[in-house]
Amino acid sequence: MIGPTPFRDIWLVAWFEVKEMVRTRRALVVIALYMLGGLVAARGFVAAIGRLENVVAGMLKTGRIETPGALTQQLLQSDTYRDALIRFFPNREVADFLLNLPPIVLFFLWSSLAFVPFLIMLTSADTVSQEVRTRAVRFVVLRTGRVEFVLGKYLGQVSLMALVVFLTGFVYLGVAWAGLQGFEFWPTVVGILRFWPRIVAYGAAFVGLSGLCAMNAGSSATARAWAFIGLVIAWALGEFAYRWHDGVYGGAWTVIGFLVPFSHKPGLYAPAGSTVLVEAGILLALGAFYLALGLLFFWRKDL
Amino acid sequence: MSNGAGQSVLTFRGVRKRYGKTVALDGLDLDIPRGSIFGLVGPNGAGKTTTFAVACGFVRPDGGTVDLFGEGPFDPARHRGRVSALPQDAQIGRDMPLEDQLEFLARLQGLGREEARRQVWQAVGLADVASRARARTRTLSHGMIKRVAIAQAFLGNPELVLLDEPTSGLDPRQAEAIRAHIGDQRGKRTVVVSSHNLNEIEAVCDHVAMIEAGRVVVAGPLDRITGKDQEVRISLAPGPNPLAELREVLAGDSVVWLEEHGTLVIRFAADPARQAEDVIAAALRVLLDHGARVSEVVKGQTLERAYLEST
Repeated sequence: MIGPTPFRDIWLVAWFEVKEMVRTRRALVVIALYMLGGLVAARGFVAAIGRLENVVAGMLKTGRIETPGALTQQLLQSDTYRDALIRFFPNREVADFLLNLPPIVLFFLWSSLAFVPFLIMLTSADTVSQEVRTRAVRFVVLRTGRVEFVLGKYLGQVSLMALVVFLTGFVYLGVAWAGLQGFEFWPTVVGILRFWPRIVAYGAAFVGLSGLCAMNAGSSATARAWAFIGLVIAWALGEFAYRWHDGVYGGAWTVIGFLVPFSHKPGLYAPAGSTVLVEAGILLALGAFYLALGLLFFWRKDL
Repeated sequence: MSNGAGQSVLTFRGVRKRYGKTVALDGLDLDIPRGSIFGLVGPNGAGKTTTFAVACGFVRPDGGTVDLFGEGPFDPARHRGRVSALPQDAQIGRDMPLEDQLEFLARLQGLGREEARRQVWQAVGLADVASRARARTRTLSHGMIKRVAIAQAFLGNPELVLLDEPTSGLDPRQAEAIRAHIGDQRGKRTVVVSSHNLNEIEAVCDHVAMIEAGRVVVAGPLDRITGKDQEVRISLAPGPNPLAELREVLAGDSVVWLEEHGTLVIRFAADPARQAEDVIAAALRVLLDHGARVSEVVKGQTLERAYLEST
């Protein structure tokens, strides 16, 4: 069932969803938790660099390095060191691109891509099922279609996720500014802003996945459980697809891999250009695809 | 079972709905006349709430057809703003200010921002919660929340309003205010009210349907169901009882004397040219001329009596 003004209604539902999350302080809790996590991760990263540098300094019998970062900066400018590191990347272009970034930016990207799926499954999974359980959804579906309701709810969740990741970028910026020698402010800001849309696209796919797994659940707890099960299954399928795409059923595993967000993560590390745009587009489309599958059941569900 | 009324705003034909092994609706046939205040009565589990849920599109029937305004089943694209409801047990969100929630619902209904705000203020006034409009719903009493939920059903002046147990949980004064508001809707829109309180239905509604085990047992204008346009009961205190003279004057009518109740039951054919008041006047003339002591005159029987006899 679709209402007469679908885009307006999706926007209204999404706006009210964000407003409700802010008003109920749910958004603040999520932001605080994720920023705290980002703080811990960023400080951990800085500390790890410091420890590594002191190990190298110890081997070279130089003095202890008090402020992490300076040695790393020197090494990254060394052709010998870069040539060694480049073996870990798929190609030279990607390697050069990533090694030219401030390290904290690379870590921001890596940690966000690692933890955003968990954040989403924790916070977004029950957004529809909760309203169905309390029957509050009945007030809404008399006024708009079920499609607009679901899309609006999940658009609101994507918006919250985008805000959370954006704000957490400032945490990384602050930790790097305070703790890393050779910290470059504007390259770091530009790098974080450059990767933020990629992280949002990646997260949007998981918002869709949480919707597929959870929108037809009977309770918030069941919704979260299904969302986590879905996350694990998606991860497992991604791993199997990676390992077996050359095997006997390689074609099938390639298709499965394409349909799993984890498989598109490497493409988000590429320099700006068609690769990133294509991967981001695929991830957004995957999110919409997952929601559409969930809607096939929600369409006919007794509310 | 059709009530034989004119244009119907909501029609059910052979509607069936099952929840697992439980049969909620078992071939429901019902017509709701446009402009009526329609009462839906029945015991718990009779299918009243499922009837509303099917009408609003919350649940899909397993069989049969539902028709709104002659345009098919509920579709938000066609019926948004024209149909509204107070769903039973549905909770308005607990953590948002009341005003914001009502404004959201009003805007979703297609109203512009200013019109939505105006209607929201009317609604909070109707619900008598204007002083708590910025309060979170969780801080309001059950009665306030119920009144707000009723008020949201009238946002945007819908043509059809379905109210499932609107006065349950309200104190007598609040319930009376709601009944008065429902009565005020006569001629403005069609309102369907479900309730266990038959006195309430009788006071407010002009049409009624009795549902039992997922089917309509009897439906039609309230006066016909209760016999108000076909029956008069006159209670007499001990004394003269001119039964023969009364039968002579009311020759075409059935006149029965219930001795154990001390009540005359006069049954007559429904006729626009000869209404119950005319029969009462004729009967009282005979009774008073012969010295009978009249203690009570009642048209028809109560809805409760009619319900108990029908189900």
